Amino acid sequence: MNLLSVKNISKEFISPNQHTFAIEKIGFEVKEREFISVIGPSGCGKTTLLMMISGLMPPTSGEIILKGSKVDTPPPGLILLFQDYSRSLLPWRKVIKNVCFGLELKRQRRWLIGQDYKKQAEKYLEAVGLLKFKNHYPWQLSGGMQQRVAIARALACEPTLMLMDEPFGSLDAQTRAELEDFLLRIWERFHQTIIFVTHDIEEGVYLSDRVIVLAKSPSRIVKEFQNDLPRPRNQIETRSDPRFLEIRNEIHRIITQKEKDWGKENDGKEPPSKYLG
Amino acid sequence: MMAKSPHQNILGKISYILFRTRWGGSLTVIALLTFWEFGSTFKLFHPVYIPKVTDIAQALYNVTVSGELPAHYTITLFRMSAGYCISVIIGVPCGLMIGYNRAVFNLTEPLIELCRPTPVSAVIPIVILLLGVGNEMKIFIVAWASFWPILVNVIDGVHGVDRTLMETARVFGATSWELFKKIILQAASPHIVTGMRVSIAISLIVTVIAEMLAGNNGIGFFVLDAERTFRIPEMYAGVFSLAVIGYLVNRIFVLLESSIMAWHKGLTSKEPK
Ligand SMILES: Nc1ncnc2c1ncn2[C@@H]1O[C@H](COP(=O)(O)OP(=O)(O)OP(=O)(O)O)[C@@H](O)[C@H]1O
Ligand SMILES: [Mg+2]
Repeated sequence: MNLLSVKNISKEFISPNQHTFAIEKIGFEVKEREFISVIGPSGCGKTTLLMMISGLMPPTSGEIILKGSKVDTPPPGLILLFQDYSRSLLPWRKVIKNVCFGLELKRQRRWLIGQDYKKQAEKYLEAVGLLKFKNHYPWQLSGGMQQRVAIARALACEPTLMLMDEPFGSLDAQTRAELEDFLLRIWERFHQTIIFVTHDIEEGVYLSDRVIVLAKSPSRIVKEFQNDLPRPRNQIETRSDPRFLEIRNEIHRIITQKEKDWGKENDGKEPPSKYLG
Repeated sequence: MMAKSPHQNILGKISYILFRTRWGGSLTVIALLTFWEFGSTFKLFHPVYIPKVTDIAQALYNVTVSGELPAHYTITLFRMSAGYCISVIIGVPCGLMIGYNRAVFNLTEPLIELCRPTPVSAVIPIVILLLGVGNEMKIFIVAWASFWPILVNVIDGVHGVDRTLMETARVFGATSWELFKKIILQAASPHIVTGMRVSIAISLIVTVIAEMLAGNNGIGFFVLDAERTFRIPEMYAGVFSLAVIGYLVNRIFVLLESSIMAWHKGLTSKEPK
């Protein structure tokens, strides 16, 4: 059954002195318990897409249906992990209280009472390896640690649909690999639906069941890949699987091709941003 | 690691205390007072208009034990705190509401921008006309003058709340009330406290001015009256006592601020990466 349908959404930003056509007619379906990654270059509208799915920003046209009802405000059971994670933590709360934040709200409160939310928060803080830092303020932690606090805070609410906006972008390779595997374990255990936005092609392929590749200005879907690599995944085996390399190279080719086309259409000028990954 | 200062010799220690600790600043004050004392004793300047510090201290002691100064201060502090409290009680909620609601902001902003820069001294005659020269007038003037900095700071504080924070709270399903209580109020609190600190200084100034203009009590009246009756050391004594009171009020506020807002201090004093 489809959990989420994104139906032909477009987004234009209109202000008196400029007009940005950020997204043009994107549509896709997400099944329950699916792990989807969205890969696209910087500025192609990935954050905008997630903001619309989470009901923080209305699309200019088209609609988003989650569990059969139209999304216009942030729906219950959905959590968005912001790209700008350091600004999304509450600087006046210690780490543990930050993780409790979601649980304290009326919406979540029905399934937790009293001391329980502290336990719940500690459980997930432990899972991201930060229990020792529970009495620090977020600004006393490094960027990567702050990101893990934000992840723990999202997971603590046990969302059914989790949107992650380049969550591991600022981490070193090792922590990144650890957190990727941690995320996969969590997902295998709780089977949330995850939409994972990333710059990194390999990361996108490694994690997901399906990869959506976006192109730029205005953003649209260039290709979808069904990714049937065996699970559980493994950093070494999966990444050296011929099928993995095949998908990765294919995506790479599409993206570079797009970039060349961009060059042709624009008199060989450099594209405004480089693809990473 | 302050205790283990690297300065072993006496000179090193003295220069450390002078230039690295707050004591250095106190020494500046003491040096100035000493210079004043001797300048006046040796008639470097007019000893009647600028009496010796020791004479001023003597006068301060006399008016304090005679109960004259405490009586004036009781009245002054009452007016000041009444006016200040009114401005906080009205200013903080108004600021929150104006900052939170765009429509209210648009409706009130021009009015605020007109009232705020109007010199309080120009408002006084109107208030005297309407309220007379008694306590009501003085309290009203104080409340008026300290209201605007609070209001404007609270509005700025609410407007300065990070969008990402608000969006985070909304994604987690915060209701408007939760958003207000758990995000806006907290995030704006440093600005709110700043506004309150600016205003408390203003409220002391304005109380004294109002008392100088009209009436026959309060420290403002005392200072002006001492000057008119040529009790020069008493006049200085009044001014000195005001300096001390002003200093104490501000100090208390700074201490309060740093204990309530420890997170903010830590956040803003963090070394830029
Ligand atoms: N609030 C806004 N007002 C105007 N234009 C906007 C706004 N938000 C985004 N845009 C524009 O929409 C486009 C897509 O932005 P978006 O932040 O979604 O990109 P992104 O894919 O998330 O990029 P990155 O990978 O760098 O995070 C950009 O051209 C941006 O300038
Ligand atoms: Mg983005």
